[in-house]
Amino acid sequence: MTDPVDLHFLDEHTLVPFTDLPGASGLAMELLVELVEHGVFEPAHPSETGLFPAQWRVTSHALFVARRASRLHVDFGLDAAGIALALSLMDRIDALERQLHDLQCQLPREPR
Amino acid sequence: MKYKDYYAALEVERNASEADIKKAYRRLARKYHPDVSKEKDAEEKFKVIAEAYQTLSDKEKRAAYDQLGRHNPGEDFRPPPGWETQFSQGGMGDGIDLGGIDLGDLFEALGRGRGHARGHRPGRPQGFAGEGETFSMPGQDFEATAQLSLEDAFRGAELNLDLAIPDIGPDGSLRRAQRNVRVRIPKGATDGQRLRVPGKGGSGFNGGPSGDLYLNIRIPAHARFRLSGHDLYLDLPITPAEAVLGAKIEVPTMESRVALNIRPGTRSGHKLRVAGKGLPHPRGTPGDLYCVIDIVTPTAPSDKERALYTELLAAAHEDPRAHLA
Repeated sequence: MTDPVDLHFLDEHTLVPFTDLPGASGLAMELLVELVEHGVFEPAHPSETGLFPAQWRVTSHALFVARRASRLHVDFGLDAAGIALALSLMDRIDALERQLHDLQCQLPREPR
Repeated sequence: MKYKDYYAALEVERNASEADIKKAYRRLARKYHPDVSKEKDAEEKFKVIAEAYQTLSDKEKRAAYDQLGRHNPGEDFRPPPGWETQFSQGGMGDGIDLGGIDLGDLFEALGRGRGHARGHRPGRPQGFAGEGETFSMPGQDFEATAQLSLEDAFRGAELNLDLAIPDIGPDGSLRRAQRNVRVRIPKGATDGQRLRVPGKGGSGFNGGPSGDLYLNIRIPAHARFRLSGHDLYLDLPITPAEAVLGAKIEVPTMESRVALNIRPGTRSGHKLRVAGKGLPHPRGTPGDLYCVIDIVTPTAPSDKERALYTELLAAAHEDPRAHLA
């Protein structure tokens, strides 16, 4: 039996090359760069690391965001502005749901 | 091959116009798209809708689909004679056995046969070259949910995942490959965590790299602890006397039991923090355990308790409803 494979967390700490995003999401580099302009991705210090996407680095969480952006692009036909808006609303919903869940966790369960 | 009723999936008539089909798809996508929907089984439902739309929104594929005739959903059928030579144009690989193929995979292969670089969904094959050229193709990325118990998340665990990964056969045809992937979930994975397993998606074609496997971690509700990020919450029932007088009690954690001081005058809903006794964190400080105080009043007090409570009632000097006066 083969050894189990180790997994990589997609989080806000690990950085990956921006050039990993097209392969992971199926989105064209031009659209991904447009999404940077809309603030969807914030490459680490683009001014210091260079003006070209080939030199940018993003958090590994961006792989998940890029895949979600791709689904919105393909399944709803959204352009960069639409994707950026949808993603920011989804982030807000996620944050509110997390907050709701956190508060529910703090309440005692109903008496048995 | 099992028949799927794509018109029924999109809730349209068989003679629906292109505009009607698009409108129906958009409406259903908003309802069932897994990124926006809270409907039960949204992901499965959306897969069916997307597959139906991919075929019916393309004139040639729709014509090919219509020529399959009408059958009952799930019914085994074979395309009419000559159907594949009329429509396939090499997209499915020569001499492919249509009997065992999934209808959705078949129509996706039809699109590729025409050299369309469509289907740029995440995880879909990319980079097809034109007809007659040699090409390689990366394998498909694949996304799956891995369910993990709270205990496994706490200790880290090995999981055996049985996945039907879309793969490309040696003849270039699409197929579902049943694959067992053993993964080591590190300590500190929590509910909603996303992980990537490089190279464990679909195999590449003609030397192309394998796709990646993306895992979404789900931790079902636990009988005792509630999970919030890396913190745990535990209901801690205490008696009214313990709440008034204070007490030293033992509480369970994920790995042992710890002694906890209940201060005199503790109220229901107070949270007592046991530092570092939540889930481990992949980088640094572990989460905390919070004990949520729940003052439990006796439902069947003994005669002695009743007498003492009556005495307490008479002796009470604080009015908890003073602010309502």
